[in-house]
This record gives sequence, structure tokens and C-alpha cells, in this order.
Amino acid sequence: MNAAPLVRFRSIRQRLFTGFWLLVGLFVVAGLMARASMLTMSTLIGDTLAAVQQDAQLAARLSAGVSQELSAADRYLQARDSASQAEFRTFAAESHRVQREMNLNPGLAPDEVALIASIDDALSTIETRYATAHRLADLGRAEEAGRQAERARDMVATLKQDIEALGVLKTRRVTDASRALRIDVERRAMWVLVAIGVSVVLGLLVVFTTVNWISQPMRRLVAHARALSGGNFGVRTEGDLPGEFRELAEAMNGTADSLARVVAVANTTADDVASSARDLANVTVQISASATQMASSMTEVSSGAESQVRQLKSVDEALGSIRTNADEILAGSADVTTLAGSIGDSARLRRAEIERALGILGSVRTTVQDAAHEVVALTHTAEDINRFVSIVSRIAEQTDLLALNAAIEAARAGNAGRGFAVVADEVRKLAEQAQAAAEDVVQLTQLVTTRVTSTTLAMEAGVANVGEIENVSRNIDVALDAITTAAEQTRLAAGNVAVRAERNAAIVASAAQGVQSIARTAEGHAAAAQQISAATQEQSAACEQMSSASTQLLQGSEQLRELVGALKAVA
Amino acid sequence: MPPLNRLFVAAVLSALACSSGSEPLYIGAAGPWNEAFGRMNQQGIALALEEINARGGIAGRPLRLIERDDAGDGSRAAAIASEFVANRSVLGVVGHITSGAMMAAARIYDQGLPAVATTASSPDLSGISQWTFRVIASDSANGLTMARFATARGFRRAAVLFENNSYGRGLAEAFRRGYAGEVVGFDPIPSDGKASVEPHISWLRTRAPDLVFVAGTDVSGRAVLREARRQGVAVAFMGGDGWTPVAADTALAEGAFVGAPFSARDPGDAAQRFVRAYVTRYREEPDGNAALAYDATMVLARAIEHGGASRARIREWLASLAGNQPHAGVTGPISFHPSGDVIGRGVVMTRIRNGSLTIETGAGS
Repeated sequence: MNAAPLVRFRSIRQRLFTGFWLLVGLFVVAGLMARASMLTMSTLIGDTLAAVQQDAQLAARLSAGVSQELSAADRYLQARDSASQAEFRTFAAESHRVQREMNLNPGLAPDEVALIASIDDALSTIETRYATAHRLADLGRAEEAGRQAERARDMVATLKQDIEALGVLKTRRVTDASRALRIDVERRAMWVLVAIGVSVVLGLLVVFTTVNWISQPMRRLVAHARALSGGNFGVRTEGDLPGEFRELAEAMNGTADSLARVVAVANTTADDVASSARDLANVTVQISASATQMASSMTEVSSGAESQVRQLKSVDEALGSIRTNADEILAGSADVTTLAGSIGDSARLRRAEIERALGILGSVRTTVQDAAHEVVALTHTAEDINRFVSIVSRIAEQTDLLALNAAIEAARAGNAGRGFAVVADEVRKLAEQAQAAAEDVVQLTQLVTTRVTSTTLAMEAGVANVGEIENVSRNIDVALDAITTAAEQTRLAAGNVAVRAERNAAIVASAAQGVQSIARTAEGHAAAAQQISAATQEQSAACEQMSSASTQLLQGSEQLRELVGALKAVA
Repeated sequence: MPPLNRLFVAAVLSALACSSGSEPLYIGAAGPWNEAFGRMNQQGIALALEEINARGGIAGRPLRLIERDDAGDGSRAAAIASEFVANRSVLGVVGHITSGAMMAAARIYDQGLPAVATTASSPDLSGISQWTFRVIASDSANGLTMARFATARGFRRAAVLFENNSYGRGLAEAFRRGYAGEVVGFDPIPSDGKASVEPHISWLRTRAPDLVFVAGTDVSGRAVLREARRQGVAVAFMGGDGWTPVAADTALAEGAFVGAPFSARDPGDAAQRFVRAYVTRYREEPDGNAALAYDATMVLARAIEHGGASRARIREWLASLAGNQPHAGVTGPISFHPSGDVIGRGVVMTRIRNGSLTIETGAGS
């Protein structure tokens, strides 16, 4: 019931009203249903009765019409009067009209329709046969007319059967209708009963759920109030409550909240006070102790200050001797600076000279190398000369051979060749001379080549010597450079020493001044310490008073905390 | 193929054939098919059906006819009507054909099946049911037209013979009301054509009428004419729409006046197209029965096409014709009065000449 409510009610009032109106509505519905049923029933009953009545009337009219029609037909056969003829026609028309009216009745069953059609058929046949009989009678053929009339009467039985069958059908229809009506009445009555039953059940349901709905939150609120009166402010009433209870619960929750807050604040305050009191007591004790200490310290300070003054005076004296030493260091460093400057200058001069020597050595080496190249070229030239000389030598040999041959030829020629033999001899001599000259040249060239080779060796040795000299000169230059740098650094260091020495002298002078003023202050301190010592003893007395006050405060805060702790506040 | 497979294929094929596209639509038809006018009605219905299905049916579905013979009998008509109402696949009915049958059947169709009667012209049928319509004018109008024609043609003494049924009584009564001359006789005659009408004709001779008006079908009409010829009664005969098949009987019917709802001589395009189609199909000229049956079938088919395959919507559509464009029938424009009667129609006066209904021009028509 409460697990999944279809409608959520905001208040008891609303719920009661809703339940009330729902019940009223259901009863109205039930009433309306009952009334509508009764109206429908009465209409239905009225209609059915009217239909039955109409059916009965029509059946009566039909029966009457048919019997009157038939009697009129028979009458005409005997009397052949126009009145009977007219009556026959009138009642025939009336019977057919009734039959048509029956056919037009609403809700006819097929068997009824068929029966009405059958009645019409039978009636029509009877009429037709009577009409034929009448015409035969008119023609004076009485016997034929009688036969025809008899044939017509044969049909009357069928017609009456049909009319009776229709009556039975109508009766059955009335029975069926009344049964249907009864069933309908019972059905409607049941529905009304069901509606009333549902209303009653729903009413009970509304009352039960509403009571349940009210009493349960009521119990919770009572429990809440009891908890509050017992000083338990942690209890809360939450959840889905009827509107009025929800407001009450919210108010109680608010009260509990406020009280809990007050308790919490009081508790913290008590704690704070207690801890402050403890702190205060501690501080007082400490102050008291430190005051005692201070007093004794001050005494020590006072005596210490006096010995300090004495020591300071000896420091001042030491500072005076430091100043004298510093002056001497200053003078020494100036000498060092001057010396370093002159070393640097001479080293620079040496370097310039060595550089010049290096330049000369370089040009010597180049010249020697050039000469060596020339000698090599000379060697090549000597080889060329050798080749040329060998050529000349071969030419001379050939020429000598040629001259020999020419001499032989000239001898063969006899007298004619005598002159030519002389020439050939001269040529052979020339060739021998040329051969000799060539050999001389070869010897000369070999000598030159030997000399040149030894010269080349000598020169290569010279070039190597020059390189060594160059290396030595360079090493000297590097050494001199290092000397120059060292001299410069020495000079700078000496300068720095002078500056520092001057600064030290100034510091020492100011230190001496400071020491003198400290000595004066120390004297003052010694006097002040004696005054403080006296004041500290007074403070010590005050601290003892404070200590007893803070003890009282501590006791008060403990009492407060006990009181508040009893209220079970939610932190 | 194993028989089981063949069976399966046949089942699939029949399932396909039964899918909505080709599932047939059914209408019912009932009438006295063994009578001449019944046969003409039947042929008119059949021709209309053939034309509809040749055009592809209604929305692709063929239109099928369920035919029942009511023999013009009210009881049988009521049973047939019940069967049609019960068969939910029957969307509408063409018929019935005779007034008596329709009188009974209309009460059954009132349960909710639209029916368009062809030649049931009894005044009693006007307003008999919300569900019944008819394409023929009421006899109360037809009888009046014919009575005026008779008066105008100078007939002073008229004898009235009528079949003792809804149609005959209604038409005879209408004629008597509209006739200005003297009614020398007003007798019911047998409708079956078997019972003798000799006493009536003999009696009429004693009354010397110049016109005999016969309200009935060609069945009783032929009996009367035959008896009159036999007795050598030289008198003018006149019949209503029920008489149109009499025209075929040239020896008997020559010269008779017929108030016909339709003439094959109607020069209108629709009528002539219908006559040509009918002659091609049946090798005979159509009469009012055939034309009205054709029109009734066509208007019902259009109602199914436009209203939908629902009895109620078909009835709605038929009733709504009055407020809209009428259906162009071969017998003229068709729309229905709330009573179910066709609006603005009557009969055309014809005379039987050489087996045909020739339109009689002149007073009264």
C-alpha cells in the first residue's frame, strides 16, 4: 500500500479530501449507472411491450381482415351484390396493408420474413381464386365458380396455419425478449453491486491507508520528541511524511540542529579556555624561572662586562701593532712592483731580438734550399752532357771508320786517289781528336757531377742545422713570454697587496674605534644589568600571583566541559 | 517429380493465386432465372461482369458472381438474402428482380448488406431499408405515366388486370389513380401462367373496354394475350416494364403498348454501345430487364471500386451519388433518393412493332 503509491499526497487534508471525493464520485457513478440501467430498462421494456402490442394488434387486424375478406368473398358468390364486392376489395387491401406493415417491423428474423411472405402469397392466391370464381359467377357459370371458390378455401387452411405459426413465432420472440431483458437486468444489477462493492472496498482502503499514513509518522515524531527531551540532539526525522507532519518534523529537526550547534560551540569554548589556562600557567612558571635565571645572568653580565672592558683595551693595543705592520707591507709591495716591471721590460727586448734572428734564419734556409734545387738541376745537365758526348764519340768512331774506308779506296785508285788519301787521313785525324775531346769532356763532367753531389750533401746538412737553430730560438721566445707574464702578475699581485694592506690599516683603525666604543657600552651594560636584576625579582613575585589565577580558570573550564559533555552533542 | 513435391508446388501456386492482388471480389445475384425476364436480367448481369473482368476487374481483382434462384418467391428470397448476409465475402447484391421477392429480401438486407434491385418497382419498396436501392423507377410513377398516356391516347374505358403480388398491385393501383377514364374492371389474375384467365377475358368482353391494362410480368401477360386472341377480343393492350419480354412473341404482342424503362431504339451513345455489345454476345436485342440488370451490376461494381471492399462504404458511396456526379448508366444517369429509389427516371412509352419496342412519340410520354 505504502510501497508504491499511485498518487503522492502532500498533506493529510489533501488525502482525506481526495479519498472523500473519490468515494463520492464512485457512489455517484454507481447511482448514475443504476439510474441509466433503470432508464434503459424501462425504455427497453416499453419498446418491447409496444412492439408486442403492435404485433398483437397487427395479427388481430390481419386475422380479422382475412376472415372478413373471405366472408365478403363468399357473400358475393351468393348475392353478387356490389357491396360485398367492395367489401372484398377493401378487406383485401387492408389485409395486404397489414401484411406490409408487419413486414416493415424492425428487427424481423428471416423465418418471420419468410412467413409473412408466405402469408402474402397464400392470401394473394386465395384472392385471385375468389376473383376468378366471382367472374365465373358473373358469367353465370355457378358450378365452375363453386369449384373455384372451393379451391380458394383449400388455401385458407394454409393461410391460417401460417398466421398461427406467425403468432407462435411472435410469442417465442416475446419470450426471448423477456429472457434477454431478465438477463440484462441481472447483469446491470450485478454491475451496480460491483460498483457499490468497489466503492466500499475503496472507502475502507482509503480510511485504512490514511490512518496508517498518519499514525506511523506520528510515532516517529513522538520518539523524536522524547529523544530531544532526553538531551539527544542527534536524532532526526526524515523521509516521506504527510505535509503537516513534515512541517513539524522540520521544526523539530531545526530545533535539534540549533541545540546541537549551541552545545558544540560551548564545548569548543570550554576546551579552548581550559587549554588557554593551562598554557597561561605554564607560561607563568616559565616566566618565573627565566626571571630568576635572568637575575643571576645579569649579575654575571655585570661582572663579565667589566672583564670585557679590560680585554678590549688589550685588543686595541694589538690593533695598533697590526697597523704598523700593514704600513711596512705596503712599502715592500711597492718595491716588488717596480722590480717586476723592469724584468718584464728586459724580457720583451730579448724577444724582439730573437724574432729578428728567426727572420734571418728563415731567409738563410730558403737560400740554401734554392741552391740545393739548382745543384739538382746541374746534376741533370751533367747527364745531358754525358749523353751528348757519347753521341759525339760514336760520330767520331764512325768518321774514323769512314776515313779508313776512304784511305783504302784511295789506295785502290792509285795516283788518282792520292789527294783523296790525304784528305781521308786528315779526316781520320780529326775524328781521333774529336774522340779525345769527347773523352775529356766525359772526365770533366764526371768531376763536376762528383763535386755537385758533395755540395748537395753539404747543403742538406746546412738546412738541417738552420732548422735546429730555429727551434732553439722559438723555445727561448716561449720562455721569455712566460717570464713577461709572470712579471706582470707579480706586479699586479704586489699592487693588490698594497691595496689590501691600506684597507686593513683602515679596518684596524675603525676596529680600534669600535673596541673603544664597545668598552664604553660594556661599562653601561654592567650598570644596566644591575638595574634589570632588581626588576626581575619584582616580576617573579607577579608571576606567582598569575599562576594561582590560571589554576582557578582551569578548574572553571573543567566544570563547564563536564556540564556540556552531558548534552551528547554531535561534533 | 515426387507427388509430395508436386503437392507443395500446387500449394505455393494456390497461395500466390490467393494473394491480395488476384483474390476475387464476390457479389450476389438472385432472381427467377427460369422466367424470360429473369433470363434477360441474368444476361445483363453477366455482360456487365464480363466487361468489368475484361478490363482487369476491380483494382486488379476479378469480380465473381454468386447466383441464387429465388423463383420470385418471398420466402425463398428471404432465405437467399440470409445466406448472402451471412457470407462475409459477399460485398453486395444485384437484385432482387421481382417486387415480391425484394419486399421480403429487403428486410434481411436491412441487417447490413447493400442490394441494388434491378426491376423491382413496387411502390411499397420505397424507403423499405437504408441498404436497398433500385435502378428502376417506382411503379407509383410508372403507373401514373402510363395512365396519362392512356388518357391522352383517348382510351375511355379501361379494364385493369393485375398479378396479385407487390408489383402487380402497386402498378395497377398507380394506374387506377392516374387514369382519367372509367375503370370497368379491377381483378387479380394468376401470376404463374398455368391457371386459366379465360373467365376474366370472357367477363371483360361483357364490359367492352377499349383498353386492357395488365400489371404483371410477361408470364401472365402472355396468358392474357393468348386468351384474348383465342376469344378474338379486339382491344388495345398495355403493360408495364414487366411486359418488355412479351415483344419477342410477335404473333401475340404486335401493337401492344409497353411502358418500358429502356428501349433498344434509344439513340443515346451509351445505350447503343450497350445494345451492340449485347447483340454481339447473345444474338438478341436487350430489353429493359437486361439494361437495368446491366446498370445495377455496373453501379454496384463502381461502388466497390470507389467505396472500397466494405459493405458499409459501398452503401455510403451509393447513397452519396445523389450529392455528386450520377453514374452514367445505359438507361440514363443513376443516383438514388434517400428512399433508395432512382432519381428522375420513369418509363418511356413504346409499342411492339415486329417484335421490337418502338418509341411512341406523342402525348403522355
